[in-house]
Amino acid sequence: MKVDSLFILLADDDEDDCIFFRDALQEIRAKTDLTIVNDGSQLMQYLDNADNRVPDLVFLDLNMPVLNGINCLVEIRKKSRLKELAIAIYSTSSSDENVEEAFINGANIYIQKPNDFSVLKVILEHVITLNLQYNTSGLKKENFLLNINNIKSDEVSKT
Amino acid sequence: MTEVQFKGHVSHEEFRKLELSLKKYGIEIIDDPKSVIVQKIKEIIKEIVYLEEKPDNSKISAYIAERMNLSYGHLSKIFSEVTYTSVENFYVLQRVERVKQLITEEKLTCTEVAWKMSYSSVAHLSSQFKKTTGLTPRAFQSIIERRNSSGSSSSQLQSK
Amino acid sequence: MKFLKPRLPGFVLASALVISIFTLLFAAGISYKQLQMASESEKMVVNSYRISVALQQLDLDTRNAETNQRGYLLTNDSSFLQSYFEAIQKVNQSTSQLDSLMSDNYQQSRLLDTLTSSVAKRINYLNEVLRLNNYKVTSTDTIKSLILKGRELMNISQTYIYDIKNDELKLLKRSEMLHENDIKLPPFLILFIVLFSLFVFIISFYKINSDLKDLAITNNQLLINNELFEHSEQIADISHWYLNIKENELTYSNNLYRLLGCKAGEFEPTFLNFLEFVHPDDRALVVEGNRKILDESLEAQMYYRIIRKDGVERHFRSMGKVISDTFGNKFSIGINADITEQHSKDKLIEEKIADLERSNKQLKTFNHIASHDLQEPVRKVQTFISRISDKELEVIPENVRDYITGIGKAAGRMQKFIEDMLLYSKTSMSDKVYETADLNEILENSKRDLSQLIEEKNVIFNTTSLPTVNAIPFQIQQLFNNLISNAIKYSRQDIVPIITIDSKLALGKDIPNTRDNTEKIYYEISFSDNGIGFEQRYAEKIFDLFFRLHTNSEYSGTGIGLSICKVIVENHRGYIKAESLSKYGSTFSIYLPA
Repeated sequence: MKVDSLFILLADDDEDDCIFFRDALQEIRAKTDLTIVNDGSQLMQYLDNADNRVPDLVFLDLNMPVLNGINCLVEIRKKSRLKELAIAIYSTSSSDENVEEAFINGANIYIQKPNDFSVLKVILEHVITLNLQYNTSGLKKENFLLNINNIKSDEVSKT
Repeated sequence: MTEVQFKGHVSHEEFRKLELSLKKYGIEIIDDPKSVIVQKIKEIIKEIVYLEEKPDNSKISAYIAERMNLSYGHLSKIFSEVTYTSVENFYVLQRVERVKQLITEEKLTCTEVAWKMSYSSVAHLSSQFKKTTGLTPRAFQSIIERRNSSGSSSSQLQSK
Repeated sequence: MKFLKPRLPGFVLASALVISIFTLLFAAGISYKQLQMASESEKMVVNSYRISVALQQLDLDTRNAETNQRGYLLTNDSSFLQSYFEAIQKVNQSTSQLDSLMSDNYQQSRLLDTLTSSVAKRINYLNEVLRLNNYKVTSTDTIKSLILKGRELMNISQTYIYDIKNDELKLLKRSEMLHENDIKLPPFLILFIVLFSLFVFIISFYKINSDLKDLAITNNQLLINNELFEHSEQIADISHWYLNIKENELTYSNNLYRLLGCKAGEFEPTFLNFLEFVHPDDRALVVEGNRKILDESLEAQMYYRIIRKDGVERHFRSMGKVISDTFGNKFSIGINADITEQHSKDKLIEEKIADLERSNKQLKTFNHIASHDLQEPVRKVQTFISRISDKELEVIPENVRDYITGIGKAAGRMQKFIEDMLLYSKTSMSDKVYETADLNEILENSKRDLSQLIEEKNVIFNTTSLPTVNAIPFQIQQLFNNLISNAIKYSRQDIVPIITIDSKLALGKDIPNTRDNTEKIYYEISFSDNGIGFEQRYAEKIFDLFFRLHTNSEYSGTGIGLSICKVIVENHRGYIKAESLSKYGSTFSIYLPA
């Protein structure tokens, strides 16, 4: 089993959130490499480029300019090359409609952006670990569905 | 998982070549002893999950320890080190995965699944499912159905 | 008024007539026959009497002749001779009379013949005696023997007469009997005929009278109905028409003319004339509709415009169909209604609805964007604060630490506020999709969602079986979550919080302070706790938006939760009531229509 670092791609237009994300990743146990893009078209450009390394995990904000999260999701899922790609929607919204829409259009994970840094760390660790399990333990990626919604700092999930 | 022992020394490049060619067939090489142990534990757990009868949680740890011929504490520590998660969590994860499989492939109802997987009640099943995935079994089922009916653009190949 | 079916000369009536006629004719026939027979027998009686009389007369006349002969013999007076010849003539008369009287009876005729011959003999003897007498030659003895022979003949004649008389008597008796019988029946028959006729006349009179009365009543009602009709049509702006299909006669109600802006009867009622008033664009529609009614006997409804005589455009609604009357004639009938007012009202309503929907949509979008755009900075504040690690916190002065804590808390409140507002507007504006919801399941979900809180505060639940209702599931879930989390939030510190959830049925009129005075059935679900309670006088106000009974330092809260509960309950056309005996806890009851 590879203990190489995980290649993570984040698409988010909010600078602060990107900083939080990067900092959180750095503080968790798993080893990760992070690339950040700031809008949907940049994301698609990156992914379409066959020279680029396919990420292990993509975090996708829903409300991006140019091409929003759902559109990217649909585009990505059309490409057979990216079939293995685990996609996490990372969004401020928590509405059931958005969650359902995300999953139906092919997202594996839906994360509501937490308002506490330590919670973010826990979430990221959980997501990465789970993704690892799916990759290494013969679990069906199609069934990889995880909804992390409405987590408060005092309700940190015990995983 | 198959164990292979090289008769002689294999150079790093050769090893990499072998790895790459095996990868084409979807075969991975695990050469780190800890990883090997972890892999074995995973397989035992998978076996347990697919059993018709659910054994007591306490018995599982004993069973694994016996099968691996190592203390459970030791095994548990190695497991966490490598996977960043506990054996128990992995076990629950596997059970929930099986539930997902039963729901999507065999189209069982929640009641049927709860019975088959020896959950004490449907409520308990829903509870564990929701805790693990953040979704209720029904929501999960609905999403999978709607995914499949809206076209297979979002389908993924089975992972290794 | 009951609808009287007109009584046409039916089968019953015709057969009754025929039977009556036959009965009368039959009775008359019999009477006639009987009378005939009676007169016949009477004739016979008379005949018999006449014969008797004639016989008597014959006898008398022969004796008379004899007497006169004796008288002449004795006195030689010629007056006796005269009388004697008169008598002889009378005898002949009587004989011929008897002959004619007895001509039809053969037996009697024979007897009569013998009698006649003996009488003739007698007369001969008498004549002989007279002749001899005249010659004065004849011996007295010859005369004596002649007279004695004469006397014998006399006796024989007497016997004959007597026999005939007897026979006639018998005949008479029989005739009289027959006659009596014959006379008995006719009077009865005639009486019967008279009575029967009387009976028929009376019955007929009664029936005709009663029918006429009914007719009069019906006609009267018709008159009234017609008045009502006209009146109603005028008030309701409707009119009617009917067409006798066979005769092709079209009739308009007066109001039809008026609705078209004309005077009643202003033009000849024809379909084409009517079409003149129809808006040119709608004429095809009306023609087609009319055709459907006449050709296909379908019931057709049409909406179209007309242009009144004064040029004003009006909206019409017409309905027509084909019916058959009691004589089997086919009519097409229809109603034209002026629905211009209704039409413009409907249009207005449609416009208003469209406006409302538009503004609703705008509100929704605004809400959505506002809440998200509001939430983002709040979240950032909280996240930034959360990044300050404990180590870093230790280093800064205490008051600055407090400020930071304060900022965090304020941000937290703001976030909760925005969340609750979002929820409130979502609840108010949701599409109402009802499903069957098992409230027991909803309760279990609530317990699970609040499981951490429940564990922390060691809350005990006392629940009974709850019903299954028709509801919007996620809203009812929210309702339960709110009520239960409130119960936990406002629990007392010193005792174990116990929440009792109960269900029963209630009638609309029993729910306090509502407009429902009916027997409508509701499920009453009550949430009782042993928490801090509240003053009953605030029982209505606590459901107001933003109303709070406590400060933020006592209990956190946005004052939106119960308002959301109220909106949810109202979405389900139910009610929510709160009751409390201050420190002894509160009970929140929700009423959901069953």
